[in-house]
Amino acid sequence: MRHHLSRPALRLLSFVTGVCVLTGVSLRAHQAAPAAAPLPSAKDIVAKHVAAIGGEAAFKAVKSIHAKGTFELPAQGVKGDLEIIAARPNKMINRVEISGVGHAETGYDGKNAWSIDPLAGPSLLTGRALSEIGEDAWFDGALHASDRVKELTTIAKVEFDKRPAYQVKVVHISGVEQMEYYDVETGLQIGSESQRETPMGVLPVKAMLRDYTKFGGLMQPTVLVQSTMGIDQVIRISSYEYNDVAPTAFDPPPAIKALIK
Amino acid sequence: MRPGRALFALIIAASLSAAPAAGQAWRAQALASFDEVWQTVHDTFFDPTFGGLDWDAVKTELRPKVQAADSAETVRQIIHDMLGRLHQSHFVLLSSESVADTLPGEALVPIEMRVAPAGLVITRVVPGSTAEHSPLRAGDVILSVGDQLVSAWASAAAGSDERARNLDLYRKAYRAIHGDAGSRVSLRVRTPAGEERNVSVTRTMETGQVVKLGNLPPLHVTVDTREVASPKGRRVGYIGFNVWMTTVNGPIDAAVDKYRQAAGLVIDLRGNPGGLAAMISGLAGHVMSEPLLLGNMQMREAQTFFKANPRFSTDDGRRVTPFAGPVAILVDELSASASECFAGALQSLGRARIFGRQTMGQALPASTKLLANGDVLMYAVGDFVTSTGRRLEGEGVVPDEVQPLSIEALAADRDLALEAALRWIDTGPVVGK
Repeated sequence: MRHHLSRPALRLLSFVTGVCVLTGVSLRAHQAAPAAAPLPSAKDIVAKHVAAIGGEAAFKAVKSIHAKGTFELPAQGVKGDLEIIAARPNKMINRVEISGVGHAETGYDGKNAWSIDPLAGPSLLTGRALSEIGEDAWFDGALHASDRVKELTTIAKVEFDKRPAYQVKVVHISGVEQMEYYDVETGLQIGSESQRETPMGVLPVKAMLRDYTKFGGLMQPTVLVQSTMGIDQVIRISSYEYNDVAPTAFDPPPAIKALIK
Repeated sequence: MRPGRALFALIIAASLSAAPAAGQAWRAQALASFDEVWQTVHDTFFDPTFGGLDWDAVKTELRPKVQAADSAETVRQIIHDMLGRLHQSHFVLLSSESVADTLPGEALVPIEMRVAPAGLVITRVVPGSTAEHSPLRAGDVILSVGDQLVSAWASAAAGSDERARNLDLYRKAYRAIHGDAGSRVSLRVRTPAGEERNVSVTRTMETGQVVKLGNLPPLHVTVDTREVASPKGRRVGYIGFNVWMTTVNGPIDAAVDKYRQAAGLVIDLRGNPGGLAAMISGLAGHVMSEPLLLGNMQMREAQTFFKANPRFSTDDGRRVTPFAGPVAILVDELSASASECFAGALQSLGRARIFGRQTMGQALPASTKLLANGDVLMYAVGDFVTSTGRRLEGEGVVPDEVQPLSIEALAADRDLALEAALRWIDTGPVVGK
């Protein structure tokens, strides 16, 4: 499971009178540090991350996750409650109750992906958006298994979110690709950068994972800052519960079922 | 539809909540706010040339004035001046403390007004209100509010053209009719028959569902859906709402569902100043079966797109088809922003026919930002153009059929724009039940 915000929340970047609260500030290129030592292999970087979050055995003991927290667009004063549920092998729903706006939801049941958007209405996701959420929902995504990833390359040692980090390029077999950043010291993944299909076109998205805390046997990020062209969305997770998600929790809502042929 | 506080909030200014800074703390906050406003525009203004304006020179000129200012209010005026030099809509400083920017009370005289060649005209008296029980009637021309003469507002109205001056006059009048709930104010009016009279009326709280979204002040949201009959007796659905906030979605969804087989659909955006612009994708999807491009927003370094989201299902899980019949959209001089984007987009696509009067021409997508002093900056982040490349900022949407404001029609309780829309719907094939 990868941490990405719901599409309706991205659309809420379209805010007052208009739209996108997008500021036109492009993501800055990262300044690579002078090469002092050979870079570790991407496989080793990922392995260090898996060990840092608790190890593969502990990770695979988790069959489902139910996380709760808050969502915020700080500069715009927009807030809401957030809930994420995910289950093996590839199911995920991301719900946000946004004050003054309503219920937003992005979901994937292993086959169909959907968006319940309080601004634009319900829709099935197709094409690139479907591929991207399919990768997001892959529960073992953090392991970067060879049956999902066709290219895993260490690019450079850079500074990311004010931390020394290894920059790793990930290309999935599905074609979805992104840059991931791993803390040199802790080994934990601290962020990613990608081009994401949004309701308003393909936009650059930068995600920063912060404040890892142990829940059960796993270290989990409790703060996710997602920046789209200069505007920050902040998710704060207050709880992670494991293995208590019912299989029916991923049933699409009625408005989506009616769209599935 | 009633423009109400939504207009004041989204287009002009509104009451916000922020504690005034004590002692000299205001100075540091004001300077920080000035810098933040300048920097935000510097980083985000969609035109990298700033329309020929030397933005760095603006800072060089104005920042020393901020440093030398004797009050927070003076700094606000400097910021207003700075934003005004951009000559674009949606660059507004919303302040809780500025006397000029805040309403003198939460209640108002329950009437609607428009500025017309004949003057400041009452276009609607809210049914069931204190005003309805007074002699005030639609078609009356307001000559004064309390001791403030409308002619003085007109003479002093600011703006580079008639539309801008009329909006300035409207703002002053809108502010003047506000006050504390239960307070009374005297309006001097001239009736359509030429008789002048003084009418004392009680201010009442604005109706509608109160919605608070982010940094914006509370908005009173109203939606009106009903069935109307065309001159030929055909069944037509009517949907009107006063601001683009998601609380209108439920009633609109239900109305579209109810009138899906009607002979036509009228969407009334008169007095609607905008709101959440992405909602245009959802409403367009109620009348479009293809995800066509409605328009795009050109930002400094990127372009984003608005497409219709065809509505093939209902919340309760029924498979449906979007409304396929004729769509008429009603607009006027107080229709702005998202309302203009929607009307302009559907006009460009040929999916709707527009009736009424030319819109405000303030159609830039915008965002808000909370500043160090508690004020809120509203700033445009892009330039909206329709799918045919038509820019709406400045020009606005020009109706396909223009209906000038008629005092005689108002006095006769006639709605010329709606009547024209219904006549047009009658020209189409009989598709409704």
